[in-house]
Amino acid sequence: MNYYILNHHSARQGTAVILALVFGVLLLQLAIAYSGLIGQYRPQTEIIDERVRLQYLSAGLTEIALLKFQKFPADFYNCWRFQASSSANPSFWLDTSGPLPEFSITAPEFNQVAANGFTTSRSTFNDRPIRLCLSEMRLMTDNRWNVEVLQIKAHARYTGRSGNVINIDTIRTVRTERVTRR
Amino acid sequence: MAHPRLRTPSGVTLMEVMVAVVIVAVSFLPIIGVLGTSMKATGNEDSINRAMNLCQEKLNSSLQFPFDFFTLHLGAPIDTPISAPGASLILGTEAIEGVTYTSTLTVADRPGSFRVPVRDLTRGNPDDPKTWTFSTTVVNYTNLVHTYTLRVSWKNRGEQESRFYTLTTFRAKLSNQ
Repeated sequence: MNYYILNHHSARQGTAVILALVFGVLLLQLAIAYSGLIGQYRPQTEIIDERVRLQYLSAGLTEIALLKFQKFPADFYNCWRFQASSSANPSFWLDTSGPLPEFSITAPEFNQVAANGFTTSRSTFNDRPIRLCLSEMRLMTDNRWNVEVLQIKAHARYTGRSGNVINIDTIRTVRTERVTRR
Repeated sequence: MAHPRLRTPSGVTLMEVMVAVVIVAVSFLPIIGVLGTSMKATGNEDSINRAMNLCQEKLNSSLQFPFDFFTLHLGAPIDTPISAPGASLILGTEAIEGVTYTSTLTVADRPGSFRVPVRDLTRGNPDDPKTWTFSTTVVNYTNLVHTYTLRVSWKNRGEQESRFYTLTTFRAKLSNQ
């Protein structure tokens, strides 16, 4: 009888400790996994921040492009007509040479910022320069009805601290009315 | 004579229970540490997100003012509330959920020049664009484009250094404004 009790007791000895150890290891794994998740959370906020800053800057560039169009509409239309008739490229508004790109996408006033990088828009956690340029300025409709739509697209590019490149395109579409004076 | 059931050791000893409790308690320590870090990080993220939202909201409001409204303030940081017919903007300090945010708007002129290809009207056939020729003219401008910079700064509780978030955009004097 005594032998039975002793044997039974030794078979159960340490069960609670083993269970506690297994539970402890699981908790440790949980802690490691959770700390990994927290590590990924901060870059997400930074990415949102970067996108917002890029969006505002590129929207501002479309404003300047629209100003140029409003100041020199006849010159833009002339450039457009010349490029449309002389270019072999169906997407002639993306040409890199000729009067139209000189008016729009290769004009230094829209690419000056791209060369140097824009550093005014920054924060405690991000101070990398933002590069801006105008990527498109095109008429969406033809002039048969005297009403047209001008689409201006600005591109902003940014290399984050972790090396990830973020690109944002802001498109502004405005209705224009062509008035011919004779 | 004792009853056999009372002598059967079917449970665990007090020592085992104590050791197990200590092990479990020690295992909880990293979890508690991670939770503490997580709560602090979440608090910081909250303040960053709030500053971003505040910055966007105020910059959007500032763009509602007439273009010439800021002519007298060009280049000088504005950190007091401003208003115009139909538009108002709170600048300066604001306390939100225990954190004080300071908003400052700076509007600066951005002089520049437009490079304009101008068609030579004396040459080429007016009905045949292929024959047209262009020469480039540079037109300088001032006070037609403004740079809007809105800066929100704040200091989190328990931190010595203040943080800031800045948004910048351009605004042009368009003919429909």
